[in-house]
Amino acid sequence: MKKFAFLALLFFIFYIAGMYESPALMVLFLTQIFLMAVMGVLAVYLKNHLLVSFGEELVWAEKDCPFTWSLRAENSGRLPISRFCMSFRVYEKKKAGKKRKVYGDCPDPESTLFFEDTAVHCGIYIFRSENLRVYDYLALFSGKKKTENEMRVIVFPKKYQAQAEPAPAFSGREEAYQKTSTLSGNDYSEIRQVREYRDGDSVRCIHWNQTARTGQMWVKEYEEETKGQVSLYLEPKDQSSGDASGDSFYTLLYGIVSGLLEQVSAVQVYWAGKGDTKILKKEVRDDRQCRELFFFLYQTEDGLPEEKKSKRNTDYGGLEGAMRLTRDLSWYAGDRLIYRFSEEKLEEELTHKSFRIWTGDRLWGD
Amino acid sequence: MGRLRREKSEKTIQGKEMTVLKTVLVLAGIWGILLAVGAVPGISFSEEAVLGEAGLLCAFLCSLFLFQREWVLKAAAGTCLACVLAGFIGIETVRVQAGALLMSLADASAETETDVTYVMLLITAVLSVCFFLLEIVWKHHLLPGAVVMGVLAGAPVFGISLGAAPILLGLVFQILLWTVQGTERQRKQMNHGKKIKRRMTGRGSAFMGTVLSILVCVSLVLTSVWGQEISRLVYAGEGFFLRNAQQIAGRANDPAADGRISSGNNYRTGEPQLEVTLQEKPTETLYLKGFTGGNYIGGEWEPADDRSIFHEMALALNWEKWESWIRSVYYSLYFSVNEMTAEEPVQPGTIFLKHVSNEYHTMYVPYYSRWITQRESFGLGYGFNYYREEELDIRWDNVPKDYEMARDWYRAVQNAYMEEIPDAYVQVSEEELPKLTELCRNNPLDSLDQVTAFILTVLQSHASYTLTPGRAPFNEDIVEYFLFDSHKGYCVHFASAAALMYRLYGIPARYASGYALQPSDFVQQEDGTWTLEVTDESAHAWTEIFLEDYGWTPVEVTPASDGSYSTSYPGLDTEGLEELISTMNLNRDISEESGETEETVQDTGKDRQEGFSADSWEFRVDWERYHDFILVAGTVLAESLVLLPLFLDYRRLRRRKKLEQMSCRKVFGRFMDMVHFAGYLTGCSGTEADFSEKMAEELPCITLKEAERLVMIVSCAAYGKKGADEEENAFVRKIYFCTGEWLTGEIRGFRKLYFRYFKAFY
Repeated sequence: MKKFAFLALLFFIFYIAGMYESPALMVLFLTQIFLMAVMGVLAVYLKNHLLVSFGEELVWAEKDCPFTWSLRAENSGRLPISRFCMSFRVYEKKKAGKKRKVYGDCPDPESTLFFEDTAVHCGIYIFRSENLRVYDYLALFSGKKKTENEMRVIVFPKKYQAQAEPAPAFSGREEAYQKTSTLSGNDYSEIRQVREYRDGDSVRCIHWNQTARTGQMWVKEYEEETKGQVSLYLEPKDQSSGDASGDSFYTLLYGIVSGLLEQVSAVQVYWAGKGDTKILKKEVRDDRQCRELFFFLYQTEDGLPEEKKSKRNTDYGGLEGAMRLTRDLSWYAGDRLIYRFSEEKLEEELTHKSFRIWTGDRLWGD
Repeated sequence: MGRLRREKSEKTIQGKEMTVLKTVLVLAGIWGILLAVGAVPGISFSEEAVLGEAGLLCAFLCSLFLFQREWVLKAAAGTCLACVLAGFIGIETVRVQAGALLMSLADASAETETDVTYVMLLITAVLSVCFFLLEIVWKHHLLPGAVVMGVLAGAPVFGISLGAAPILLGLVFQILLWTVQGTERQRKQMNHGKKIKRRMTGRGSAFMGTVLSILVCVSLVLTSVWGQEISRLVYAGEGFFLRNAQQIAGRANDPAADGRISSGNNYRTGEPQLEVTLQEKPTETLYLKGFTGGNYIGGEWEPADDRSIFHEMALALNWEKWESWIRSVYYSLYFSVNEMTAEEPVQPGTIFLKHVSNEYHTMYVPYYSRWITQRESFGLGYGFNYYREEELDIRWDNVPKDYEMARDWYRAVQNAYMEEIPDAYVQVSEEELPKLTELCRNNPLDSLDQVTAFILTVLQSHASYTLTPGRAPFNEDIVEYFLFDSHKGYCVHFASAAALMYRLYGIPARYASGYALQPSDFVQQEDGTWTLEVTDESAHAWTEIFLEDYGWTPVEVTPASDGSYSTSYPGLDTEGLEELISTMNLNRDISEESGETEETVQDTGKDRQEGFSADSWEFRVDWERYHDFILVAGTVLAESLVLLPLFLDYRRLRRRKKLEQMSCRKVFGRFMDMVHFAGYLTGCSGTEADFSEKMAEELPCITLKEAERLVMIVSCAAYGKKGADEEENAFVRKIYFCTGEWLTGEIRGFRKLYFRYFKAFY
């Protein structure tokens, strides 16, 4: 638009210069028309000498909070670059990428440009650059080239710590507890149980002898590890649920795990992996591991086919009676409902409510 | 993803240098406008005062912007308020001066010059404030840029001839400020928690400045060499557009049927307009008149209206009852009387005209003719019998007895008409044509032939024929512009100028337009008739004067393509005319009182300032005009050259004083620059393990021990837990000065001066 407006102005000057035989205006016109040509060449020159990429491949962010990401611009030419525009698409989960543009400059051989953004949903955002436009100093022309860079933004839910308080034991948990150590084999004085291998289990815990005997991977679970721990099973994701309910679920999960970590040393989180029936596990002992959990969760949990969901709902993988967190924001201890959160008041409920959790139960692992 | 925004500083922080640079560029734009306004004919103002005011105001606002930014808007508002108050206080002065300024823009022929300094001071103050706010505070270049370019580009439309200075200033303002605004992108950079202010360096602006300088030089050369040719591209483009537009809109018809004197180029479409059929091939140019100009008002000929003349004639002849009859008598008078009284009867020619468009709003009438037929209600056109000019031989006494009464009537009508036309067709508004009036007044002539010779002399010496004379400013009279400024034009301009000059000498004359058909263009048909398809390329304008026994007679004053004139009318002695022209000594003083020559008068309108000649596309500088400026500039330059050594020495001492306050690391950095400049320790950065040894080896003024201590002090200051103490700093400075003194003795010639004064190392 600017180019055409400038061109229109030039033609007006040219017309006046010619019609009124004004040499001064003719000089003005010629200078500016040549300048346009120079700007066109300059745009190509600047384009050829500029490389722009994302400053980081991975960026951590918190939902609804501003985060900063950067672009790294490298200018190999002698002239500074006053303006460039990088177009990229932001892919969120399975949605089609949303097109975005950012403008920057590169006066020095290397420049880093910082941008502020806000993520409104939890999950992984992929920023994939598409093309780069480099403008001349008058921003009349631009040289365009394709770029292929990628940056991932991991958006965590906002942290609200649930108030979990110890309460008298709940008797109905015994059967799960009984299911331990039914496997034969080694010295069980220190080993609490031997169970099937799950993703996330440490290699050092593999029960090699048992594995060799049975031809299936087994791991040893020691008393020390389970003591002061609690297990939390996450209900498989419902494909039909929207982003908002997903965000609420993650916020709740973060709040519950954070709250539980105030009472226990670790929380074992289990969930269904993407595309198969395998149960995944992640042990969380602190906030850093909690964030790792979400990163792992975003990558592996992407909903399940409907036919598998029913099966998965009842497949506790030997964890019947463990805490459960359902997608409708219900928090269960086995089959007993601890609390059903509402999506609208979730933050308030997490912040102000106290949840009485039984003690002496296996859920506490003691 | 939510909203995305580029981080910006809450409070934009500009580099001081950039602000000053932008202020200077703003001032350049204002100066350009002032120069353009200063070239408006009929006004004058003190450029020094107005420009000084703009400079002071911009400097004041710039200082505020740099040091008390929150006061800028208040100061701007205060300035505008002060201007309003000043306007109210001097309301009468403002009214007079603003009126004069507007009048000068509306009418470039104003003879008196009005001083408009007061109103220009007010306008400039407001303009400076607006430009400063827009460009520097709000960083909005579009509007000021459009204003400057608009003023410069629009100046020729108001008859303002621009010189080089306003154009160059406007260019600098437009492009450099655009570049600076575009490249100056400041932002808050977040880097490890620190906010780092960054801005575009001046390299972009420097590059653009260099490019601009080169391009201006190239454009100057191109304009000087091929300016005319480039202008013709505009004509070709406009012609192409207008021809097509006329053809599409169907307005290509009847191009010669009005009294509008085009102030632009003449683009012909080649579209057929008339089909003319003659019984015999013509022997001279056949003029078909479609329009007759009466009064000349505002650069336009009003249609001649003879009705009032016929009414007066009727009263004078006591023919009130037959007033309507006078008209038809008069229009066929010369044909009828010639037919009646010619010594040897001549067979009149016959002409039939058919309009291609079949629209007959305008009739094209040959001279000395009589309407003969209306062929099938114009379906096939209309016709006239006519005599050629050479066939006209009216002898009032040579009439049969039966026609004597008719002859007397015709003669009475002619005499009555001749009585009336001086009142109608010698009127000229002298206010509208001051230069032409002055020219004729200063060259008193008696006879018609002398006047004709004068007119031809003026036209030959002042005008050349072209269909593309360019466009005339809207506020100038087209005839005066043609004769005294552009000196280029085509038939309408020649005919108008001649008609007006005839009138100024008291000779009844009219402007006529229509078609001029050349005999060679006619083609004989099988039936023996001669036909011609007349296109708008035959459209023409000419002057007609009233001659007794001939009536209105065409006078060709437009030169042929080779520049020759074929002016003739009955009774004109062609050879005598040549002689008269050759002996004609034009009194070229137009303004005797002011003593200005005609050329000077032209120049006041066109070339009021240096730069470009309006007549040629050559670049020239009017040194006379800037005599004072050059004198002042030369004096300043000379003084600067005298004071330069003092300034440089002062600067050197200041640098030295600054150095004494620097930390040892900075002093060491400067030390390295100094020795590198002198050609020592090249390739060393000061971090090498054997740097001390090398330094002691290459610089005999420093011992190895001193060198080692110097390196140790600087290293500790750079990487140690605590910086250098005062004693250590003093040691580093001592080494610096010691080395500087030694190097001063070592370096020779110009490099020594450069080392000592420009680099100010020691």
